[in-house]
Amino acid sequence: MTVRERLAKGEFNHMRGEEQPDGSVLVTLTKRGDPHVYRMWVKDLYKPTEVVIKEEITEV
Amino acid sequence: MARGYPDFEGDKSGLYLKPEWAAKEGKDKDFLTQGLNKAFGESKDISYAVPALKILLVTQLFASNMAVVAADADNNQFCIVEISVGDMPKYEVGMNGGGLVVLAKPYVIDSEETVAVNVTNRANHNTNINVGFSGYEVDA
Repeated sequence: MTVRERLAKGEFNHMRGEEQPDGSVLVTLTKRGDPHVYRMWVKDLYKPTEVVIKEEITEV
Repeated sequence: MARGYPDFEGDKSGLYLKPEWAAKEGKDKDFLTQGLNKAFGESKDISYAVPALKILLVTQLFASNMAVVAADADNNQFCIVEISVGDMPKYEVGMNGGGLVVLAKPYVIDSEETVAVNVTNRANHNTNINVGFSGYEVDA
C-alpha cells in the first residue's frame, strides 16, 4: 500500500503536515502499534492538480 | 456471586465515552500542521478526505497563534479558527493566542467529504500558526 493509499483509506492515527520551501507539503502518517513512519511529499493535496512527489517509509 | 447480576468487581468492566472507546479500538484520528511567519489575514489549514464507507466525528479543534518576534510576544495574538466541509464554512471561533475547543456534540463529516480546519492570523504582526483537530472514524 502506498502512503497516498494509506491516507485515502484512513490507515493511520496521526497525520502531520509540514510546509516545504518548494510549496509542497510533507505529510507524515503514524499508527499506534505500527513501527513504521509513512511520509510523502505532495503538492495540491485533494485538488485535481495533486501530485505526489516522493514517498518514504521508515522503521522506528 | 451467582445472584443474577453482572460482576462489576475488580477491573473487569467500566464505562467509557465514545471518543475514549474509539481510542482503545485504534479508530481515533489526530491532525496537526503549522504555518510559519503569517502576516495579518494570512492563514494555514489542514484537511482530510474521509474514506468511502466511513464517517469522521470531530471532537476537538486546537490552534495556537504566536508572535514571530519577541517584541510582539506580549501583544494580543488574535486569530480565527474555522471548520469547513468542502468549500462551505460551518462555524468559526475567535481566539487570542490559541486554545482548544472541545465539541460537546461531535461534528459529523460524511463519507468522502473533505473537512478542513483553518486558522487565520488577525493580529497586527506576523505569527507562527499551529492548527489541528481530533476525532474518531467509524463505519458509515
